[in-house]
Amino acid sequence: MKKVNEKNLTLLQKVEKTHPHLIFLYLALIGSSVLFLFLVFVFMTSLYQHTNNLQMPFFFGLSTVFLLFCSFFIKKTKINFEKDQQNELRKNLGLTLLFGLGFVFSQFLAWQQMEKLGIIFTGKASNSYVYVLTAIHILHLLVGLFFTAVYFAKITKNYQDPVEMLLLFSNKYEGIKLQMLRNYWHFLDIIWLIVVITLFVITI
Amino acid sequence: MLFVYLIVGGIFIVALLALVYRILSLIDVAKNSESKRVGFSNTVNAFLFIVFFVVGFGGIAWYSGIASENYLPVSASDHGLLTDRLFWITTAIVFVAFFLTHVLLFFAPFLFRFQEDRKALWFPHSNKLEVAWTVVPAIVLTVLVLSGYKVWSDITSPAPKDRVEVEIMGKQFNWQVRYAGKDGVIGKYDFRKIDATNAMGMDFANDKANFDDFTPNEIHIPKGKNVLLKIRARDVLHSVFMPHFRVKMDAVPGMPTSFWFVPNKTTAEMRTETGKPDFNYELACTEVCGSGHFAMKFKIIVDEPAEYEKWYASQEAWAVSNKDYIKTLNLKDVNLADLK
Amino acid sequence: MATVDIQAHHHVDNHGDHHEEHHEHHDTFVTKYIFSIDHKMIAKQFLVTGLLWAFVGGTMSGLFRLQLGFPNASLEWLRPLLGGWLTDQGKLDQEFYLALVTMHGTIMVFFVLTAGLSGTFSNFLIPLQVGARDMASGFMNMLSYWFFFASGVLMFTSIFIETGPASGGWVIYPPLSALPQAMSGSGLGMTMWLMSMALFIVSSLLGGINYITTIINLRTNGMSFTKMPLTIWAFFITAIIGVLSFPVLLAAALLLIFDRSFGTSFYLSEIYIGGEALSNVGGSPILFQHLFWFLGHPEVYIVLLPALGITSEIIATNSRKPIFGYRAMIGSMLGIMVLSFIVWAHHMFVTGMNPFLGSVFMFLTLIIAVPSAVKAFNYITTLWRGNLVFTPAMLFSIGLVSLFISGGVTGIILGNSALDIQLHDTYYVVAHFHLVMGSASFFGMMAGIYHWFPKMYGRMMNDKLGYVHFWITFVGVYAVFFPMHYIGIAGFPRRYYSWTNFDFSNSFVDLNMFISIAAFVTLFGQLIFAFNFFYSMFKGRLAPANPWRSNTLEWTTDRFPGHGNWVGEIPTVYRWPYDYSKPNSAEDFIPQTVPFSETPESNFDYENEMIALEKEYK
Repeated sequence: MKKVNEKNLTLLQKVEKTHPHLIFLYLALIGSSVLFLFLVFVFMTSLYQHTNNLQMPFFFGLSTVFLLFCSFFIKKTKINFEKDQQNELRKNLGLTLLFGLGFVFSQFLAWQQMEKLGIIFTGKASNSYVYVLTAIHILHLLVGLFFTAVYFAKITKNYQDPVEMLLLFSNKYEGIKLQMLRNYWHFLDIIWLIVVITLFVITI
Repeated sequence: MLFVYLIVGGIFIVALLALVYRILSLIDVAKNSESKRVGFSNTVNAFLFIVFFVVGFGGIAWYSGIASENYLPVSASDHGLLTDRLFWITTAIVFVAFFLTHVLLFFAPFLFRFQEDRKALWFPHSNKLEVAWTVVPAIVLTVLVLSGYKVWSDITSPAPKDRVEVEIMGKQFNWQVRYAGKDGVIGKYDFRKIDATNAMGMDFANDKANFDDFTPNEIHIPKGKNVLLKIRARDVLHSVFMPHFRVKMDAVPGMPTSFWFVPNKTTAEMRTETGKPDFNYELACTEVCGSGHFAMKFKIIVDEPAEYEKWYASQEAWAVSNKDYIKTLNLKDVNLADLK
Repeated sequence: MATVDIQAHHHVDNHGDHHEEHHEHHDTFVTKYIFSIDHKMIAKQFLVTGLLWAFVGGTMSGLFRLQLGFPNASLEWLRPLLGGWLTDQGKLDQEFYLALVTMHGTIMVFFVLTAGLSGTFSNFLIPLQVGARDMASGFMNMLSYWFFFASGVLMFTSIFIETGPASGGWVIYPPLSALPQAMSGSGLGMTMWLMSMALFIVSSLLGGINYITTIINLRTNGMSFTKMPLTIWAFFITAIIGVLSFPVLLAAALLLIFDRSFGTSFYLSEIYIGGEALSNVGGSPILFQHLFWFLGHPEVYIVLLPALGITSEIIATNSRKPIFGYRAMIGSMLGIMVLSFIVWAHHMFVTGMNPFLGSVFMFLTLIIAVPSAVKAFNYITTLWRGNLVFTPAMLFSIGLVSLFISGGVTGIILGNSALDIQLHDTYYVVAHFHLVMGSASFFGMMAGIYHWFPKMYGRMMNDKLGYVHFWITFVGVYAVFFPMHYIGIAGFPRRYYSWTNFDFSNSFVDLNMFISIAAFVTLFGQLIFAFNFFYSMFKGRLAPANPWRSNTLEWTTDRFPGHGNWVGEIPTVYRWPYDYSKPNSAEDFIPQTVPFSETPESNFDYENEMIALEKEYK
């Protein structure tokens, strides 16, 4: 291949040079977005079918804050990895995990709150959509939690072994894995924001 | 026993094919056919395309002639005449395209079959040609879209005020039909009011217009008048199909639909025209709805307007013939003696 | 058996006789044939599974054609096979008839023409034709197959359960599919259908993501997008369509599952069934149709585009002529891809949708005919003044073009909403999509099998049997599906167990019998193929390195390519794949691996300029 100055790459060339596993992730996220997009869309159309009794549970706000924290902490791992800051990296992954779990917990509280507000899964279609959207989002989030936990465990295991850590930090693929994690958490954030903002706009 | 036959037959066929296969392979080896790039079969295959073309189009022409009575049921509605004309114009256009492309496609194999001493023409692209056959279909299609759009928007326009209304409800596996009765208003219904007797769920408690509605066993409509079908379903999807009127509209539970048209031939006229003394217009279901889907038949009769009025006036209201049922409803403000 | 290994004029060394030396590691039976991660083996798994499904789906069509062609015949002799599905009078049970129709549709559309066609050839050809060792992820590729396999097992099991398989048509419109009270097939059979389809969607997505990534990231040196064979373009676009549309089917299925099992009302409203009024209100059965057809229509192109890609390659090769309008072909496929997402509601003209929306969809639908027409014209021009070699693959490709046209033109009529009123859900529609989507794609699949069999199994199929197979099938499908136009114009509805109840459809008894007989002959004709396929796998003549004198990369591999495809370096690509019968060239083909510097006599001016750049590829 011709040696091309890295900065002068066209978009296509940039895509071609991206690691295949990142492309996998992007394509999967596109597919997943289509799923959410259509569910949000049919959710909105269902509002024309009947009057809705939707209300915004307080805990959705809390969940949003938790999830934004997840994104915030996972974002830092880029610099941590580049600068070999193993303590920081471990801490940020841990915090992401913690807030992720907090999000799940908050969502369960939100569901309970919704039931009290009379928004029931087997009720009107518009009610059911809120449950379906949040449930599918949680399923996605659990995947994110799993892989974050795996990475966290790996670092924790090799924490005391400088050789292992050196190997890890010099392995380009480990960086790509982290990048995938970051992208995935940002994706979860964006999807959640779309869902929650839609709900917010409907209920005001 | 069946399986024995199958197994024996299978073995026999496989053995036969294996034999043929070996013989063909041996012939190839004997003739050293690999030394030549193509064999005689190349010409045979090329020729067969022409044979197929001649026999195929001959068959189409022949059958289209002898079967024309069967596949051309006469349209008996005003808009049907329009759609029929559009259909045949479009069919003529696409058939010409189909024919011409197949002339090229099926004669090319014979004309350009492989010859050792010939070289194919190097012709990787031609902007002129490509633009031509992008633009020409585009224009033809635009014309078709526009003419289709005109007919379609006429058909789907709101029904005129001056009209006859018929309510049709699909259920597994028959149709229920309801007319407005003397007051000219079809009463409201509620699916929760449906039971074994009141199959259409007429809501007597909340709408008095129901009391004079009648539910005949065949549809009567007047010739030359606007007829509006109000269509619904009570269990699964059905679809109202009246082939002679070119009418089709899905019946959807929870989402009433409608279709209006103008019948222009009475049943009697149609009987004379088709030469079938027992001819009847029919209503069929075209959305799969379960095991009885193929048998959801309902009779339609087109009358002269005067006959229709007579028939309409002679119908007894459902409430009158089901006084016992009305009694069970315990409606306070209804006097059973008033129903006649 | 005679072997013809090396043709004199062949300039890529043939390692065919020494292939065994190149196996770097010896696989066990399980890793080689079952849980293989080699794309070639996975492709063969898809192919054989797809063919077995085609046999099942074909047999089903034979059964319901018996009912339709010979409504009065006793099927008592089939009791060993059908058992309780026959009534006491020896006739097909009415619900079983619907189950057959439903399963036939599902199997053919998803298992045969999506997995068996796109799965097989995307897997087999993408790495071989773009010059990659394997797919971007062999493991995901393996998962894709096994998800498909599991999905198939589930669907197959559902055929044998007490209440029968799903029977509401392959489009599974609720409320029929949502209410077990409505028909017995909507019980457990429907649940299994939905689960099976969920697995199938996962399989398709895993496959599709892999195909796209492989094409984007793993092309060999010099293989720019504008030098890719049209097959690869077709698979690429197909995979993109799949990734964008299958999630929507998943959403539709998911909501249906909730409605069926968890009491929600997404699709249900105001229903009285089985003697009681259900509590569901506010749902919309039409919503399902929108979601379903948002996948369903692109699905048509998921099925068709790979077949068209395969045909492009085969017609060019066997016409000894470059494909006409390479860029126009790509452009029209891209056009089809975009348009395929915005035409779905033409399946719903008579659902009571907004008439204006109907006009919009009519307009968009007829636009999609333009790129399709361009493709058909380009195929014919490619044949014109070529030097045609009629291999079985070539015959099937020409057959595909014919079917694509004859089925396509009726799409112009059906896409017209005013005409669709009468023709919707009649046999006219059946004729249309069986020709343009069913038969055309099936022909593409057959063409692909005949063409790439030598690369798959290192042996040749018998071409004489191939000719017989082609002519039986070609005459057969026309004899089966063309007459259905007449029946459809007369207004015969689809999915009818019998037509004799109605006066308007009580004609055409002879024609229906003719169709059924033609169908049986065509089905039995496929046995010739089945024999040829399996027998040649073991007993066929050893294949030459490049039997069709083709330009593409896969023919530069060994006769039995190992895992990794090429021994040593992956070849570099210098030119597009359609340099057939180039002026002044001695041979009538110049493979993609031949640099312009080696062919000064046939280069065009701009190609001579490329010679300077070639050194940089190395």
